Amino acid sequence: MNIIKTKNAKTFIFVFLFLFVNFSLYRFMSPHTESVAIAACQWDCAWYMGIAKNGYSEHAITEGGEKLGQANWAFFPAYPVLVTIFSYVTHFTYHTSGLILNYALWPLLILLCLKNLALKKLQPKTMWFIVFAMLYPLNIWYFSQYSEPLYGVLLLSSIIFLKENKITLAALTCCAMSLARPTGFVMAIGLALWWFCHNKNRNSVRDSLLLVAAGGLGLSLFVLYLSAKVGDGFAFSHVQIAWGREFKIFPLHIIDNLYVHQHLTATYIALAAIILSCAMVIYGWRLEGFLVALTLVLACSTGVKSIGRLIFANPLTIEFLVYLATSTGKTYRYVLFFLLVCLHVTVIYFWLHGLKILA
Amino acid sequence: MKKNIIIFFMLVFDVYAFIHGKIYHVSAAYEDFYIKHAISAEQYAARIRVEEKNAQHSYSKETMYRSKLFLP
Repeated sequence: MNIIKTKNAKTFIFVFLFLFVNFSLYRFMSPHTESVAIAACQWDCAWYMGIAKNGYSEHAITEGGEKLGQANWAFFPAYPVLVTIFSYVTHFTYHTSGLILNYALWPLLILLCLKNLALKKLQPKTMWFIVFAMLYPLNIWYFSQYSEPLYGVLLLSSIIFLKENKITLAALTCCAMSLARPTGFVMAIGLALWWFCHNKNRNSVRDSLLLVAAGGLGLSLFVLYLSAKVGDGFAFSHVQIAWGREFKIFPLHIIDNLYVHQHLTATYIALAAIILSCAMVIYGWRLEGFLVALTLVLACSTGVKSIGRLIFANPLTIEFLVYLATSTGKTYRYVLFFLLVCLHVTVIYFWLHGLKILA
Repeated sequence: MKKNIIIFFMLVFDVYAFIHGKIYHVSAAYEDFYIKHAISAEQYAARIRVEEKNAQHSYSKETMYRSKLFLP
């Protein structure tokens, strides 16, 4: 018992130390006039902080050039609501509250990844797993004021609860997940499908229906709120046109982009994402591969922008890639370590200086 | 049994929200831009600005009329 406690304490100190180093990196590289909380807030972060501070707007932006027609309806409420509550309780600014919340959610996410691996009867080298997860170059959205950590925690919690046969808790997390990101409800449907196919007992239909209904409940609350506020319950979907996103059946956006040579970087990332989801299934990560593929299909049906974030910063992808990295030999692990340190620092630098591809 | 009732009510609520969400109470400019994709963002913004101006104009006209008649 004492050994377990000591090991947990060691892991906790290790994670805390890494978070401190990560924060120091942000502090060191951010422009001197800005605090880390302001410097880390790039791209969509402003939308989340806007919702946390002022709530949802009734009208879209009709002045200015680039953001014409855009509105904060595209961003789901769970994270900004949490930031507002945290800020109200602690009296920290919205930016600081958002950052603290995400720094607190990150260790929890790693813990859930390790738990999920244990349920899959995989035993990674814990310390190496933590190191690689911390250094994973595309985890920058987890250290900015984005909804990624909250969504990741809810998604992994749903999977773990389901694997442990705790259906009611899985349904509750599915409901919260649907309020966290647009993909949340689709993930709930994916989990329900998996449960229905995986667990062929007499309750599987009822349990699957519960997951879908609970996921739908979260989305329904947001739809009714938008309907009252904007007059369009599906404004979160309709407003995507202001970002140049239009619905096309998967994979038409990818084919079109390849044909007319536009958004090529994002298109190649989308192709890599297809290979990744296939690899996950081949390696035996069927549920995770299926959920990543579902996210890919949904994301690519409105365009390939942000596909890097949606797929390669997906908690399931991070878990899979980091696990693969920890499974390599000792020499490779050290090489990977130095490579990831360099990449991590570089990506943070570009993030703090607003590189558009990271939007 | 309890679970079945909860599922039933949640599904009914979901269907209600879906139908309610699909009934739009929006301006013609909103519908043309966001729903029908018939106009550009610039055209949408221009139309909204005109609508706002007209709304202000009609409001001031109505206020003048009411003040003349000493209506509340």
